[in-house]
Amino acid sequence: MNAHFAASSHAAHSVVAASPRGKVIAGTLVVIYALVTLVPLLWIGATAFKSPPDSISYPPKIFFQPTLEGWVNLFTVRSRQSPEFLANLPPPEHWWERLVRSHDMVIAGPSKVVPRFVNSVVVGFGSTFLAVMLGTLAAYGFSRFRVPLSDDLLFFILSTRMMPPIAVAIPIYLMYRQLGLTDTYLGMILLYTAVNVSLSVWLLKGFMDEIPREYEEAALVDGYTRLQAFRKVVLPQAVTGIAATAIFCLIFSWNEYAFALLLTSGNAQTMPPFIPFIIGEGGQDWPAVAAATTLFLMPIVVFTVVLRKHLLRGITFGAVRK
Amino acid sequence: MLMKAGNDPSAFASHLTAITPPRLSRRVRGLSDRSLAWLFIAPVMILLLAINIFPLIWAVRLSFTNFKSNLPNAPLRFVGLANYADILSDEDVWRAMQVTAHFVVWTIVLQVLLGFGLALLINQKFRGHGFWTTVILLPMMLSPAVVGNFWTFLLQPQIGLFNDIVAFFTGIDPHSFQMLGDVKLAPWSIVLVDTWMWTPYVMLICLAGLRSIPEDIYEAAEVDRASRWRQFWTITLPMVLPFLMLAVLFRGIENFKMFDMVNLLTAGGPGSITELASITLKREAFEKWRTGYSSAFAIILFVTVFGAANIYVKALNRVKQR
Amino acid sequence: MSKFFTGKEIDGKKVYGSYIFTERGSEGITMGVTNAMYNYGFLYEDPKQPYHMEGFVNSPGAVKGLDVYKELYKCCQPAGLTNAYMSEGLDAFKSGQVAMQMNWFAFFPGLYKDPNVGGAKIGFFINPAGPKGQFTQLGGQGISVVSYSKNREASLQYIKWFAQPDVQQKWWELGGYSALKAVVQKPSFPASAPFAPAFLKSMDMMVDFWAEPLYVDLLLDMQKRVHDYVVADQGTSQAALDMLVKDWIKVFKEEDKKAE
Repeated sequence: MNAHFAASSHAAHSVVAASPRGKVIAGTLVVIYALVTLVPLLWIGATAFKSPPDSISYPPKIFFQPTLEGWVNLFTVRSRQSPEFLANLPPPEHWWERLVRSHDMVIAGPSKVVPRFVNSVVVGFGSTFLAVMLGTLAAYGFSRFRVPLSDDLLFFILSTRMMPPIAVAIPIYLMYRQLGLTDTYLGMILLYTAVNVSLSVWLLKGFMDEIPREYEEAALVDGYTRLQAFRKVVLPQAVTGIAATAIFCLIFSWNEYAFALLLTSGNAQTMPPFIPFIIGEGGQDWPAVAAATTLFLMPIVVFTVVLRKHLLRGITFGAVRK
Repeated sequence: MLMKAGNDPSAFASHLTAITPPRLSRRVRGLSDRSLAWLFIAPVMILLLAINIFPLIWAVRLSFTNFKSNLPNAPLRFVGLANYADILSDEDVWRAMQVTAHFVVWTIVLQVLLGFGLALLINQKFRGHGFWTTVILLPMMLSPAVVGNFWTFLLQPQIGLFNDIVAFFTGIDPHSFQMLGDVKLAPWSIVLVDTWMWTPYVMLICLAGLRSIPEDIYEAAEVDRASRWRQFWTITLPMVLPFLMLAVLFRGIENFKMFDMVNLLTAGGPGSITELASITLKREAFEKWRTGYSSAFAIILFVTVFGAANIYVKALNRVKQR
Repeated sequence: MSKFFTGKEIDGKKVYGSYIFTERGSEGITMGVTNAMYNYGFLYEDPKQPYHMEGFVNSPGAVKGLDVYKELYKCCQPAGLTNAYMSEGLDAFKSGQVAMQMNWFAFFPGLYKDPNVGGAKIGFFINPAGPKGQFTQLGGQGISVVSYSKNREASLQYIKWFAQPDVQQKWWELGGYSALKAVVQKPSFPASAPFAPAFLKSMDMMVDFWAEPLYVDLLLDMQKRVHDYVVADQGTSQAALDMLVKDWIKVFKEEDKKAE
């Protein structure tokens, strides 16, 4: 197969011309699947707007009175007080205070959700940026230069993904403790970058392999250095692949749980270890958990929708075709 | 000169080669600027050595001792291969490996069937297929830990939606079964949730594979009056096979290491029915603090995956050559 | 009694007879199951020979006790509560899903005050007796001073203050639990709260889990074996306890303690 077809995002059908009836059947089936898999997500979205008793009602309620209680619970820390104490307080100023007071509780302060979200943003985007940058450089190196033992090195890079995180966590924890990196942004960014780099090198090498070398050769003859050729000729053409790689790296770093749980506690803890432990007064506060889940999903959805054209390319590893 | 390169690179390059003196041309096309190559690759290698290899070596060393992280100052004893012998003869470890195997096999089977099927359907390019593809992608953008957590909510026999939906479609009494607590159903509940989450991933990869098949091959087959079924078996399937195998490789590796989602969904229960190898590992390492023992277990798991992946990648490469 | 309620429908909802601990992760099911097993003759070790567990952990009585717990779980536990501990029990009881629940005394003041199930509607009883006696599992937290704390003196002073009779009396009145004899042996004690008589009797018959530095490993092993049998239907009760003995011997041997 020619590399020429690698960039094709149009044309190939599994049959040359699908019949209109075939398309309707295919479409119907796909829509059914999409809706079925959407139901749990819709339920979570709905739960975010239920009151806690409604969320655990038995049998489950499809029609309910929407409320923002879950969101208020997510963003605040509350404490239950006696009626006498409540009677002595100044009247509530904002609607959220009124909501909380109506349950005989007062707002004791903001919850940790905002710092956790910020940590997720910093660690997620930071490690994605680094992984993509380092991956691009290494991929270019493997693609364009004759590196000794490159097949073995590439398998080695893949193999770094094979160790269960639980297993690696203890040595890394001990190492980080010596270096003072536990519970820090830098520590988590480095760790996630290291994990993501295996994927990004493989993906980006595939893309680089597809970019014809003639462009760089022409540039070199023109007097550009290798580095300039890399920057001005190759990078612009690799943008699609870089975007696709970035999506996958971000999805991993954003959603990672095991390392975040084991290596962070307060300062650098991200959202995934935080969300399943949002506790209400007896068991989990499901509306708050649902609100947190929805909130946390949003940035990834936005990022993916914006870059969705590149996502499909992201799987078209040149590595597979050659 | 560079501007012209954009129009017809190969013609231009060969023109260049023709007019460039031989010695200079060899340097330009040599692409073996060793030191620059290592410069590009070095950052990735250093990061991986620091974050992946060093802990791996440390884990190997620990696996030969009786180190317990909660008693770091206890006298350290080298026990040689005793940990390994213990693990390989422990019934519970073999049980965990069986549970893991059941999980990996069934999730891959279901995800390949569903994912490939969906890709075939979407490739019919019915109206709105782009939108629905994006909708189908949503589950895989969530954090596996958060997914495991809120599926406990969905699968709860009394307050959860799942039982009621099943009852709606099949008429079975919603209170007559429970997915998570039942000895027979629990292993399928983890397969169900993982399939819900990762089928889109397999679908994307297959879709990329389908899109890469050039149209003229199908056109030629039509001219030859090959039936659609035959086209599928002789063209579509073989050409998508490398992509499918890649999807199986990545999902297989990830599910062998699976921890977050299952730990939050079932905590390995009821009993040890869904206790995957990683969960057993976590118990030994972080509840009993038997660091030496769990390091040995981790090494065994790593070697297993490494060996299997090695064989598999060789097979994959052979398929790619065809 | 539990079987009477189980399976009935009250107000359109299915109800169950009783709730017992089944939590797997920390200590839940062990805390529950020992309540049954003690009364049938389960002992952690030979009273005359420390660390001699064979025949005492897996005695016929212990096996019967484990079976009794499993029977209660199988017949009458609400659906879905296969890994449930304190808060799930409270929820099940407060929402009217179960007629009786097993839980720690600490929650009883709150339950008594509950508008739906408290007051005149609620009663408290001690762990029922078995053929080999009547015992109950000890819960609660001990209080201790960390030896390398910078505030040792202040901590010791605090404990001394807290242990005074009048402070303990006030603690009891506020809803805490006092084990001080000066408080619980007062004639007025049984009448001071509806759960007081039960508490008083329970104090006399408490048994605790292993008081060993290795107790975490021992507890985790028991959690696993007991949960595997009771909730996950693995093997027999005899097999579960036999394997537990082996687990515990291993734990002790790793720390060079002579065990059998």
